[in-house]
Amino acid sequence: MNPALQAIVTIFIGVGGCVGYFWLSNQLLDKVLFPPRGPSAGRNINRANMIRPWLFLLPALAALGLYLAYPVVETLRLSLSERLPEGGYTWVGLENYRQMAAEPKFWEAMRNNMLWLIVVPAASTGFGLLAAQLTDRIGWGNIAKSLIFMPMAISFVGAAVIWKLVYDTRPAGQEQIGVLNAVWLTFDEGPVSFIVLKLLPALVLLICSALLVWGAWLLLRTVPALHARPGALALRGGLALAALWLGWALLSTIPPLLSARLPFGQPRTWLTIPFWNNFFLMAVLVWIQTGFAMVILSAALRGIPEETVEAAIVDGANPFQIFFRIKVPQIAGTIVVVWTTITIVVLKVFDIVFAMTNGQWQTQVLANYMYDKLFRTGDWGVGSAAAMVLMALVTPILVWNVWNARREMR
Amino acid sequence: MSAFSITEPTRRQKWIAGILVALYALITVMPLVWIVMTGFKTGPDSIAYPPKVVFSPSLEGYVNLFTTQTRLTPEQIETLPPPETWYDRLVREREKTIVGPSRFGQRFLNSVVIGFGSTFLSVFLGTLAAYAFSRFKVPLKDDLLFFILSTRMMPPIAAAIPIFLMFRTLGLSDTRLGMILLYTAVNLSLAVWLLKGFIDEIPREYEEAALIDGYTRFQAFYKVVLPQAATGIASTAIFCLIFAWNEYAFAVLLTSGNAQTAPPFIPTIIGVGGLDWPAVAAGATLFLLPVMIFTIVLRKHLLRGITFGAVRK
Repeated sequence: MNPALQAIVTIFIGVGGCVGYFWLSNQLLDKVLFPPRGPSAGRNINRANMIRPWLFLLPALAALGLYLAYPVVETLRLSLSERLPEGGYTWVGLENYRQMAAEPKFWEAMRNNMLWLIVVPAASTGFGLLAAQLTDRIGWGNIAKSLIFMPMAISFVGAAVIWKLVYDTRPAGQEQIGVLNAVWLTFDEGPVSFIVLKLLPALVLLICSALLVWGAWLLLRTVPALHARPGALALRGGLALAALWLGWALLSTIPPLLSARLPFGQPRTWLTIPFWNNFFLMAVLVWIQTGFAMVILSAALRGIPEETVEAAIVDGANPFQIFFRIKVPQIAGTIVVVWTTITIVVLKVFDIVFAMTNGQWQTQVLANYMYDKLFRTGDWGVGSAAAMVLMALVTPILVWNVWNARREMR
Repeated sequence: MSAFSITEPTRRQKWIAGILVALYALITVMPLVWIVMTGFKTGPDSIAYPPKVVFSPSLEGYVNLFTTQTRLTPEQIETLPPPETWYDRLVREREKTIVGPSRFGQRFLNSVVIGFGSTFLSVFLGTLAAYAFSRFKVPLKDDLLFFILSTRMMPPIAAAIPIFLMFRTLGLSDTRLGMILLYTAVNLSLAVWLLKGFIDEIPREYEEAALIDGYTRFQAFYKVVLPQAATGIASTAIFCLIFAWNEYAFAVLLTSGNAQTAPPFIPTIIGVGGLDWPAVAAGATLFLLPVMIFTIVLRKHLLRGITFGAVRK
């Protein structure tokens, strides 16, 4: 058959089928099953009204159940069983999980996922907040916002292609097409390079660790006021400790950074530098998500009552105090929404890693590890176990988000 | 904000903010500009160093994208008839000849068919479900709604293995129908939530009046509610379309030749002698452009979709 004709027939059948289902099922209900006539008209109307919602809901619920809910249960089952060579499955308990835990690649993926989880939401929200605050103060803020928001329009794999071009490397001596290498090769031992590559990053690290220490102090300062809430106490203590540790970790990278000898003049293969290549991949997601964070936080910032800021100015607060002590606390709820939304995106990350490094050079993440197990080694058991670990990581955030949304709806 | 407001930033603050924002916007936009530019470069220009900012644009990348070519020796070229069209001439200059169309057109078509098919289905089913949630007394309504919400947050890849097995059993692997059904399911949660918001905003009184006038529930739905929800339905459709258009993980997992969409195809475009960057860039540009336009136009609505209305402005 002619492809165009075939397409038209398919569309006709598809649309007709959908419309037909609803028309026929409603007709059946109203005219045949429970007609609103005769002696039992009243009861029939009630019955029809009890069934009708399900006519509307059932197809959607069935699709969701079949394609999303059932597969999760099935994944759990697969993760606890092993495929037999002659077909069929056998129950193996936690063997797949043990096997997975013995693999260094799995722990590499876990470590990288944790890195992603810390860095990407923090960086995107931080940059977004900064961009929101700054764009609100300038005349052409709306144009700037549109520009910064633009990457949000790009699919992850499109972004991966774009950034692969940015990170592209040609052997030394050949001409470079990657932007990053082109920029890198303009640096030398001179003072400009020192400022841009060492002093500035050191300064940024210093500021970040100062913010973390300050955050820890804020968390701990109010502890004496919280009487007898061991849970809250432990949470605050843990968070403060984590912030202090992270601050210290950042601080301790500054001396080696300042004393490092950088290989100037040689093109680098950015995506193969172990550990740091993770950050080059994360940059892609931060690039995409910052615009999202910016637009939402900017709306929140505008919602802050002007009077609070005026009062602070009258009291002699400086711009930093206004930002951190007046504005940020008032939009804390929105910051959390942005943060968790990005966290969920991060846990799903697959496209970027798959298309850019495919988990080579120590950039593995869980989703890609699962794909590897599934389609390269054909090990469904371990692949499903990895999927379940991913689910377990998402679940707390998911539950928390749903719980929050429910509370808001009431 | 009045001119005398003390919260108005000072001149110096404005300058500092302006410079920082300009820098950040530049860094953000540069990769995009770079990919669009690369699409219009010739092979040699694309790998020139220092990278050429000013170059004579060429459609070579686009020609390479849409055609399959083979390399010829100068003697072979002499035996051929002179090139007829501009693209023939372009290719001939590189000592190659066009032997047929590439697979890009077909991949692009797959993207369009799967995108529109799944969008239609998810919006259709989503509208009905949203109507039911909005207007009927449904037992366990909240639980159902939040079940639907939670499926959206779940990483779809965690469901990939059973879906892969299911598709193999049902003969749906690498078919357009399979992908349409799958994307429909993934999009449904968003569609239901968004549309419920839109339908909630339509006053119930209109339908009640219609019911009193003797319409059946079903007639009231499609004659009264549907026309009023049209804007909401349209914007929901665009989100679903964008998602299906951009989806990558399932496309890689479940399609190979027949039903493959453009996203898995673009990174693998190989020219004669390695990755053909102008062609890849041309493909990426063509692929990204429609979505970028939609996204920027619909920025505000889109945000509502991402956060499920958690942020309302």
